[in-house]
Amino acid sequence: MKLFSKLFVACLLSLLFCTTATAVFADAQSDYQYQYGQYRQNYIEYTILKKDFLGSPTLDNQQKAILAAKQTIISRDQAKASFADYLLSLCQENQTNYAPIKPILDSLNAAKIFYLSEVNKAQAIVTPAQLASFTTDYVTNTVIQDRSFRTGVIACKISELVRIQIGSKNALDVIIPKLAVPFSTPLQTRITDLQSQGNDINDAINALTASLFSEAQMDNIDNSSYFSNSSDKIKKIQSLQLKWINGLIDIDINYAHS
Amino acid sequence: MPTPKIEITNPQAIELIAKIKSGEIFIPFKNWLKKNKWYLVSAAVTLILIIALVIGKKLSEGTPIPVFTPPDIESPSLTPSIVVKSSFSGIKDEIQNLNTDLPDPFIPSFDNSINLEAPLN
Repeated sequence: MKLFSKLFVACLLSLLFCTTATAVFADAQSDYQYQYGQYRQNYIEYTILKKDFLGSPTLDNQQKAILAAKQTIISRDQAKASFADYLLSLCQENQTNYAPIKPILDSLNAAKIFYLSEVNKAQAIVTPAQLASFTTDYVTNTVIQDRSFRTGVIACKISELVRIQIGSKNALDVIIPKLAVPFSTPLQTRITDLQSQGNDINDAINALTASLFSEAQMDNIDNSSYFSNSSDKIKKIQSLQLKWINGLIDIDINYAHS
Repeated sequence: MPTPKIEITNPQAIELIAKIKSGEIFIPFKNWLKKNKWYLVSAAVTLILIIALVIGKKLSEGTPIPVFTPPDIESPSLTPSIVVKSSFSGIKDEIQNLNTDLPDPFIPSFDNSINLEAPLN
């Protein structure tokens, strides 16, 4: 009987461990989606209770509305923190260690810390005056933090471009020893061209990154054209990378396989 | 046994027999034949043609249609081409699959002004 009870406890513990492990390994994207879903639910409740309070400003309705507003604020900042975390994980999964985007990653980290601190601050909201004061401060302080999302999204794309560049460079390094020496003149020309084009693409990526910190771009950050400018540049870099890899594949097929 | 002799005594029958013997009874028929001679000829020709067609059809159904196949002509055959796939195609796919539309991921919208004040109209 004792053996059965021990087995039962062991099974229960292993089940508990599996559940905990699943929760721990849940990725940043699913965490953000969950938090954002919570925020949307709370926001709907808050708007209904606020409307009730404004229509019938009783003490009971006020308490309900404050509680709903507090819950919405907490879930909003948790959703923002998890979105910052999601962007960070997207940028870091490329493992490029591309130093120029580090300030953007730092700002995303700072934003995440800010939102989590606001979650703690919001716990203290009890009265309408405290809610009003919190929101007034928040509207002022959150502008810079919210902007980190816009730069962060572009930083993630840049890290993808850099990862492709690293992969392409490695591919060229792999292919050169496979080629018959001495190189023929046309082959030598093609390799030199690839190296030169690779440097041009690197320069274009560096220029795109630098433009994110330019004064003109910082002034434009809240406008809708902010993304279209960067998107055009990324498309150009993508077409250059495609041309480059086509050249490398051509060398691989015609020289390395022959 | 003696054979009984039949004697025709009916005057109408005697007259009819006399007409047959003299060939007088066939004169209207001969006249009709002469009058419609060409109709009869054309009807006979048509009948013969129809019979010929029916016989021809029956014969053709009984005999299988011979299939004529052209003689073999030597044609040039394509030599099988060996497709060499580069081991760097993965990088190309990666570049092609890169989504250049921004913002990606989409930045969600949040209400930063959560309060209990009436909205401004």
